[in-house]
Amino acid sequence: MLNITRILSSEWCRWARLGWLDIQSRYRRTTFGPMWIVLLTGMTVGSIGFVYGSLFKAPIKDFLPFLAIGFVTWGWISSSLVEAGECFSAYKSMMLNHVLSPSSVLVRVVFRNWLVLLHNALVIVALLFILQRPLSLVTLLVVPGMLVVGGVIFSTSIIVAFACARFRDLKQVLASALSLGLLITPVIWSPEILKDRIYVAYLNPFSHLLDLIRLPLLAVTPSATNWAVAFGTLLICSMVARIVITRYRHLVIFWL
Amino acid sequence: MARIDLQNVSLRYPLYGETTKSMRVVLAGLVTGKRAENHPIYVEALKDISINLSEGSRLGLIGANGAGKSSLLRLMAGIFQPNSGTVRREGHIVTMFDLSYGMDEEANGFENIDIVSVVLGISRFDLDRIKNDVAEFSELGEALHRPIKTYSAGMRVRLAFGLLSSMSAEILLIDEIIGVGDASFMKKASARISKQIQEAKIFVLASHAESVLRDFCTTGLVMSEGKAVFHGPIEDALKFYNSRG
Repeated sequence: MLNITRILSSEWCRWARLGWLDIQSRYRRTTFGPMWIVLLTGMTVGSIGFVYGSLFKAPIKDFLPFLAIGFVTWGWISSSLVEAGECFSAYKSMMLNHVLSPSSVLVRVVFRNWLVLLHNALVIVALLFILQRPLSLVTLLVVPGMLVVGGVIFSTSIIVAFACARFRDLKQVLASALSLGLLITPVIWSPEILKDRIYVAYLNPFSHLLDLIRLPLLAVTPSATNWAVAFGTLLICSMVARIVITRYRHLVIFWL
Repeated sequence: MARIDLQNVSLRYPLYGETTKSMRVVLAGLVTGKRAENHPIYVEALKDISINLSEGSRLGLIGANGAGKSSLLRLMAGIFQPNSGTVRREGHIVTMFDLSYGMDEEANGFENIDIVSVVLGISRFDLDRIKNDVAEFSELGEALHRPIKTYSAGMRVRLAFGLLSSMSAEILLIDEIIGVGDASFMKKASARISKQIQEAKIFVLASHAESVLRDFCTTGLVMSEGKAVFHGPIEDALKFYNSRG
């Protein structure tokens, strides 16, 4: 048992390193390298912030950081899941040539997207600094928040990867669902504008996950409900992921 | 101590065709209550195979295309799991099934050695030695500093083969890769692989080239439609295979 854990952890470390090499390779021969991630996010947040800030008549000082954090976090969740859906077919040849735990392939994808998140976080840090948002001890709650969201992403990625390998149609469904998710989750808009129907926003577990990261950075403590829903989601997703991986890890190779 | 024990191993895997793979069929089945048409076709890749390989085994797998040679190799490696029977293995395994995979077209030769060595689990401690070794063997010289998208097919093979054959293995499993590259490279490659094979405690090779099988293997396993039909000294195995036509 100990031996298996040791092998798996060394495999995970190696595949995390491959995730880093992926980032390097994606931006090879570009002038700005991975800084392109930051530039693109900065431009997107800037333009959406300008238009929607006017639409919602929200003060720029509040709206821009709100939007930037939401947008970056959503991007982290959605690009991880999209790439997870493709990862088994993308790394099929490696899976056919090496004894490999399918989870290692997911480690590569999730770690790669976490690195993208760290790049994007520069936009948030810059905005918080420029707009002189107050920081406090509450801000540190973003760390456990990120761990919980990261855990949900990892376990959901495992489920998504197996499901998309088995049913090719799901890849399309996933892409549409995630672009719909961007609209129905309070990423761009604040749940407050729903007024007395604010519960509509919080029926969606993603809203709670976003809050775990967004609120601390805006110096607000996430509510107990936020934590409860996020932990509940994490628990359910990791249990399902565990079942999926134990039942299907030897079969997935034949689905590709 | 290196060994591979297969005991009554069978491998059967589902093949999802046009009708079975699509979710539409599954959903339609749920809606209409009919569960027909959702049974995948199964491929019987290996049937009831038992074989024990211990230190010093040099086994050649012989058989027509689709006889199950590659499946058996992947099962020995642990990439496929049997549906029934048991597999026990001890020892560090190196596989040579496909030569180039996981390489990055935009990266140069050295960077690709980095990438593939991470996949292969080569420690950073050994990396410099292996890089020198691959550079010397592949004779790619300056080309190693160029992106591999500029490489010809032969150059890619030199790089990938150089890297894989630099790994020391207790158990070495090779699937039909000998026979690539130009004549002078072939000569060098076979000298290099002979060394790697000699150092391996267990060696299994699937090949159609009788001379290669005679050179490297002492015993042969003839396979037909997933079954092991003959197991014995390599000469007898080849004779048996050829007599079957």
